[in-house]
Amino acid sequence: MAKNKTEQATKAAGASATATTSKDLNAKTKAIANKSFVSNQISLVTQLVNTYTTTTPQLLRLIDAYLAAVMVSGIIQFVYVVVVGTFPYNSFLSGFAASVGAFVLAANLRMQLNPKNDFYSLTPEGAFAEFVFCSLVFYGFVVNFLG
Amino acid sequence: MGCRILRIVVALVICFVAGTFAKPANPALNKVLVVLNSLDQQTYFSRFLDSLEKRGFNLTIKAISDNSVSLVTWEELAFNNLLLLADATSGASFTPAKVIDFVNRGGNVLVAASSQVSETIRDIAIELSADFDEKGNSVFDSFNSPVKGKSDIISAKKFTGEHIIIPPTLQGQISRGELPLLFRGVGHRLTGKNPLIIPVLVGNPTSFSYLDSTKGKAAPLTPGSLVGSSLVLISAFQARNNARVVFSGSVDLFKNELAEAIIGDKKTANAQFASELAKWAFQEKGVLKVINTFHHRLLENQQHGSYRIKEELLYEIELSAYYDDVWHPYASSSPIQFTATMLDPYIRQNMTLSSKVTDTTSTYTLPFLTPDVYGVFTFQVEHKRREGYSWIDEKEVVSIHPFRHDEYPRFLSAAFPYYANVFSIMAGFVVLSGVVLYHKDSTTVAKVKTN
Repeated sequence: MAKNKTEQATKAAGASATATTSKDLNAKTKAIANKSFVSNQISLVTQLVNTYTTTTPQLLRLIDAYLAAVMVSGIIQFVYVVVVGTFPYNSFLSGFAASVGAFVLAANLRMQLNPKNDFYSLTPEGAFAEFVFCSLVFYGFVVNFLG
Repeated sequence: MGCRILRIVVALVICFVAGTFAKPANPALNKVLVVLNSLDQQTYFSRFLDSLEKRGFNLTIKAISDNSVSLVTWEELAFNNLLLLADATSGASFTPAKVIDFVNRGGNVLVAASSQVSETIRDIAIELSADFDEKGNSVFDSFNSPVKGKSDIISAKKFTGEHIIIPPTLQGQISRGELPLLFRGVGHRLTGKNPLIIPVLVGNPTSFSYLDSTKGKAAPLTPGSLVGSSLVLISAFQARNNARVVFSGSVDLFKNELAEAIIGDKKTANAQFASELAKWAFQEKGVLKVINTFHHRLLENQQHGSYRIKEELLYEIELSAYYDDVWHPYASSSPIQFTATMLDPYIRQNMTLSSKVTDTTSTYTLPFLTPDVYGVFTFQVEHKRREGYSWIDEKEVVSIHPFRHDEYPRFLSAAFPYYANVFSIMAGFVVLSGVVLYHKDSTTVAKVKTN
């Protein structure tokens, strides 16, 4: 509430006064802001990496590695189909769908195994069983469509 | 001696069999009903009727006034052919409706009229869009009247169109005047509403139709009179069911009188012409028959009811044409087309005459690629040309299906990256499952368990 009030006040008072001097100020503040923006970003990323490596359980990190690998395989296939052409289209669809589906299923497993998420009464063993069952059904379809 | 008797018996049996299977394309269809003004007129036509009988026809001769005759009994044809030589009188058994019904059921009709043409004949003809001139009119030609003092007996010379009804040699002899064709009777015009009727013999440029009583001498002609080639003397009609109808303006053309006449030192062509006309009308020539149709994959030799899309097929049709008393291989003067339709024609191509020819049949073939569309197709050969041959309309329903699941090409080199990806991901799934199952991270497990 307080913050809102002050914002309104500055808007009402300085609307005309700031307009004349804003050009110089803007240039200076931008340079400072840019510098601090880059360093800010760097510190943000390092902080993110630090937090990730220290607080994320190792199992989730392993799943993340799998997710990254699967995503790369999907991208490679997409580049391949653009370069080579769509001829065995069903094979492309099947291979690409395998990457996407594997990613989705592993992401779901990761969400359910993450101790910070509350999935009601679902146990980690239950989540894993779900993952395995869905994966088996999914790969059945994929291989069938692969041609 | 015994052997000799046996031989004679065998020869007699063969003669008998050959005799009964004599002339019409389908020997079972040899029943002819001859209808005359009165029975005593039979002698006038004896030459013509005898020639029919000799060709294996079974004649029944009736007067038109005979009400006991019916063309159709118990919904079946009582006769196969009707020879309507009663030019001037009508009868209750031969109303236009009954004759048209007879044609609709596949009966052939030869109608002959004269300048005394009855309303019955005019009504029958107008049903098929042949319009006979009114009673009392006659065809005259002062420049082509071989009998002196009788300008109503004309020598007709002009044929139209390409058809097989009258053989070209006879046409040539008649039009060159080597064999005069004598015609005495009424002319008609074709109204043009029926595309299936064709003129066979038309008037010479100097022929005209005029009142009989004037002997052709009173002029002038009224506008719309029949003159020249619009004056049709003989026309032929072939219905969609292959029944044939011939209209002749002259009943005298079939009579002994004109057949036996001698013009100068020449015999007339009438007897020969009349018999050619009857041969066509009564299905003794120009009859086509489909012996067999056959379609198969190009590298196979077996017919199927269902084929795949984009498959190479071969369609064959075996045809036979009847003329000169035997079946011959048929070679069409116009292309025979094959059509594959599913609502719209997807394929319509000319077939080619193959080298596979037997004594009686010829084969037309077409290799083609089935359309890239699946569904229920009709393979059809429809051959309808106005040259006097009977129509061919052969249909067969064939279904064309898409590639079966196992008919697609497999293990393509272009698809190897996809295969590799799928199997590596499946391996990755196994590894991940192992990791999740056997991973030991005390903090994580504890946290999960507390959850």
